[in-house]
Amino acid sequence: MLFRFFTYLALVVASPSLHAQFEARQVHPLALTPDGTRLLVANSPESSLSVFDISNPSRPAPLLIDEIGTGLEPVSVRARSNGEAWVVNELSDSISVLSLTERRVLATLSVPDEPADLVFAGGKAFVSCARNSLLRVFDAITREPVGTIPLNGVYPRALAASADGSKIYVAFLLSGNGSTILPRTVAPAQPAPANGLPAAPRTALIVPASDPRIQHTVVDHDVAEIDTTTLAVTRYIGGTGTHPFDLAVHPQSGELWIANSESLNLVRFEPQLRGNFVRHRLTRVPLVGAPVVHDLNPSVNYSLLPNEPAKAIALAQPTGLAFNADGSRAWIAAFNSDRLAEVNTADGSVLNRVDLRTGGGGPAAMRGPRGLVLSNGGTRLQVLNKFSNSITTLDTASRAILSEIPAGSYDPTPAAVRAGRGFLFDARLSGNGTNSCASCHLDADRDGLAWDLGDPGGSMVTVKGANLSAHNLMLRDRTLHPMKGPMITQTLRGMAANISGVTQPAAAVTPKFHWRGDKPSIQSFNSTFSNLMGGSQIPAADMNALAAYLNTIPHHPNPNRNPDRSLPTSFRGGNASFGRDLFNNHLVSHCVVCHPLPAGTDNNIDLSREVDGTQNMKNPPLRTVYQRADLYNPAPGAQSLSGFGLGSDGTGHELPRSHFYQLDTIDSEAELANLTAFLLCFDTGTAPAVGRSVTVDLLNRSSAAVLAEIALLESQSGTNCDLVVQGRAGGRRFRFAPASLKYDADRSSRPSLTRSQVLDLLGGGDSFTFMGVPLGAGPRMGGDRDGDGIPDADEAIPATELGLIPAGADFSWAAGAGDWTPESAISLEDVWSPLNGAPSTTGPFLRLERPRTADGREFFRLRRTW
Amino acid sequence: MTTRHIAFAALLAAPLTRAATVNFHDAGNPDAAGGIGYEWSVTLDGDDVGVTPDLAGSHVGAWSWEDQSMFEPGDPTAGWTHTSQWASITLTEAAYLTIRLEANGSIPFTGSGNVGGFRPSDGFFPSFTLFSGVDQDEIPVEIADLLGANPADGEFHTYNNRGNIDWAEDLTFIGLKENSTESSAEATWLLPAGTYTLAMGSNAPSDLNPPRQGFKATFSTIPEPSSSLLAALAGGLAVLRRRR
Repeated sequence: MLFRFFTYLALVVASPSLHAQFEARQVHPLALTPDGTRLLVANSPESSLSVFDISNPSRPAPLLIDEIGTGLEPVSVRARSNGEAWVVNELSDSISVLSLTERRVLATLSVPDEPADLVFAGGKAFVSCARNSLLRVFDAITREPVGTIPLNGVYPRALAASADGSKIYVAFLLSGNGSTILPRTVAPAQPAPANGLPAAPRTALIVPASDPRIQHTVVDHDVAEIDTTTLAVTRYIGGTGTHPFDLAVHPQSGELWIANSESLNLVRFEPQLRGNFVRHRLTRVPLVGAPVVHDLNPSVNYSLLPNEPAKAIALAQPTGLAFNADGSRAWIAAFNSDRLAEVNTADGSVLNRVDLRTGGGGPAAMRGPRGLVLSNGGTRLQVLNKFSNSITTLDTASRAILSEIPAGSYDPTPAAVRAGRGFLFDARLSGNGTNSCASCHLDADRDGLAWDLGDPGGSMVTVKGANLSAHNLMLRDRTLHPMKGPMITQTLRGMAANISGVTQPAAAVTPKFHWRGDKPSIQSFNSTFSNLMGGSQIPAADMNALAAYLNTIPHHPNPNRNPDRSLPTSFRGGNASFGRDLFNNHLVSHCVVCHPLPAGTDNNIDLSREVDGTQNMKNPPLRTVYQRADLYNPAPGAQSLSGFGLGSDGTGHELPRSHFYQLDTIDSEAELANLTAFLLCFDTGTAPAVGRSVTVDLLNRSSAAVLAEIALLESQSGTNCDLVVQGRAGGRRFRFAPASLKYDADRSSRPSLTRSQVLDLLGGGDSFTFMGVPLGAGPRMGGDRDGDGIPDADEAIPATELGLIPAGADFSWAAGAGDWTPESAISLEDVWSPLNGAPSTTGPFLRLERPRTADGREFFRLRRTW
Repeated sequence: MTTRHIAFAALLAAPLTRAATVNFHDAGNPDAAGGIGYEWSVTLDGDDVGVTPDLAGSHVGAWSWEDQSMFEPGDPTAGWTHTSQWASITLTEAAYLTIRLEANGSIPFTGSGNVGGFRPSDGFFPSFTLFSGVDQDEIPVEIADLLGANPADGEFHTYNNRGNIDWAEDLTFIGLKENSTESSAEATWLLPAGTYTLAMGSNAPSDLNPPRQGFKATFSTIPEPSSSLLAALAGGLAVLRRRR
């Protein structure tokens, strides 16, 4: 028929919330200043850097002295000097350069998508940009960019530098394990079901990349070594593990050590994988020779389930690694086990374990030790716990926990996250303590692998679908075989926004889960705890908590879209805007019929034959195609960075036709390029303006580029983001009000200001950072930090008392004033210093006695930390 | 003049009256009549031949005539409306209408998967359905409601390839030619003068996923016997009259 053009409306779905948390992938969230007196902590939920005084060894807990605003989702921090720190902002795609002495942002440096870590070496700062697989290099002093290093690996994150700074190492989190997919057209038929069910569908097969039937190569790049002078990649290191979480250079030998996990996805079928699909290791890379692997759980008998003794000692997902000064010991943060481990580096044996879940409790009490650093001459281990957003201080000699304090003065983490997150990560819910949902759903995301979780003894499942691709609303039974074959691990992010773009028939387009839609709800995954993890199913209320948590996590913005969320007209040889029109014109491409906007799914199980399928499959969302494209190429002789591609079973690599579809008439190269461009720019549900920021000071406040950036953020405010202003000068924080086009101050008595008036507040040594934040977060982040309805500057000032005692002075302040830090000075003109003694508690007050000073006078104050 | 002479005269006259027209409709030459968006309009008299030219738009999808995955036992069979091509045919005289649909490797195409600059045609299994009448109005409201369609669209996304089409109430099923093995298909009907609708598509085996296929359609008429006899008689009478 003649084509009749009409367009499906693109729905922009926003889900305002007081605090959107993106499940920050912390890499090195702790650092020491070179003089060892300050502990720097990336406070991811609050988007700030917490600065702690740790100079007093008699004090059991670090003393919070400053909180400096950063970009969104800070995940790593490094100190360039005693007075300057660089913070990596994963969501903002930026580096916040902070002055620790002036307690402000000096500059915000833009970097490519999803920066993860930073290391200083050879006078340069190297930033790993995970989603773009590259390193961005800056001059550490001038902050000018000096180069970009493309990397041949997937998702580079953790960085480490050699002792002399001549080399750096970067680890690829999704490096794979040498497995790949044999397409179903080549793979042998599945074995017969064990229980008389119909024959299993023809599926692909996971095989080693060395299988003679595989015609392409899959690189084994776990770590890249870079020369810091030439910026050249000098070698790639393989054979060290599937997911290298952290790495460190041994202080004596110079050897590289890698904390990692190894995935056993070559084992087929869920019953064979039960409780036994991942290993947690330390891998030593000798200067010469093959890597040496140390299993962190060598005594676990995986054939025994349940295995309570194993659960009591298991170490799962080692995300933090630190050596003591002589390198004889390595400390490990076992993120999914809530344990620390002390490892003898001579033989890789685990000498001691420390349980951080003091006071017991279930998954809701998880700490989630993520990063660690040795301080105070190696006598203390400082640990950042991601889930509790706290800092545990450990005595390394006695291995006693000295303290656990909040990582900042305020934690905006929503209650639903606190209550439900542990169920995803807690390996203690497994049968032997070695695995959790997060073993594959790393940080609630993907692992880049396929797994065959079919069950030859399972049951057929029937789900309702409709032939909506043929515009037929009649409900039909879709029968699903338990031997489903390999399926790529799907992300758990953005699920709440994967709403169907159509509404009829309701039974067919109801949200459902898994590639095949065989799970009607998140709660219906409860069987995974027993069938795969080897543990027991959890109570329904706990599953509800897990579901509520998972529905809080949005996607990151798609960096391929324009900053104003529009589509680029020139992207990789195509016009994404034209591509959208082709996508939406269902008589030309038919894409939109099964993949309606906004998420690219109708949640329906449609006609499998139309997409060349051998079994029924849900129409999947398209929001993260840009993250998974270009990694896999099965063409004979081709080189793949990953063993798995775009399709449900890991095959499929060619955009825009990752699956066959015969109904479209888009077949000119130009149209295909346009459609590919659109798919790579697919809206994730989060606008590019979220996290975008610019720092303004007296020198650049008239810069055309700066003003253009502010204008852009103002234009996005109210629709795609809220706009806040953080910094020092006048009122501390502002929030842009799109209706009035003015900035509301954080003190009720102050009038709203125009942009010019805000910028006029800047004086020498001041700076403001204008930043887009998620819709709904503006009021809190732009003037009401604790969300109590009282503007920050109107909050009551805590009471203090100063008394004279025979020995000197006695200074007391309200114990609940967590965002105020005590300081003293000899004179009002002098430098104020932290009062970092160990206070005693007297009723509602903290109390410090101070000896009489030489000249008999001392001034005391409380200063706000932020 | 003998009877033989009369018949001869009639045959001589026939070529002189051939006036087939075959028009293609696309964005540059839209069919503004409404209803079904016919790609082709064909007019034939009783002894005529019309052929679709090798235009870039002469192509159909793999399962455009029948897609077995779209229906289950007991359901009406269906083809894809917007991957098939439709012709409105006007017969000015009663005639035997022969329709031949065949693979055509000469349809210009430079996009992905082209074969030397032409549409592929090796996956084409031509099949077609003939209806009487043309449908150039909106979908009946009650049918549109049932289908979830917009009445103003004039057509729906699938059609019954083996019977009457509910959303095209002005059409009446006449017959079909089903083929899933050959590269050409042909069928002949004896039809009175009037208007007809032809749905042309492919009936590729279900395990093949060919891209769009180039085609050629040939429409030919020979006189219906009574018309032919009348024409011959009229021609003979005219000759005799002149001789007198």
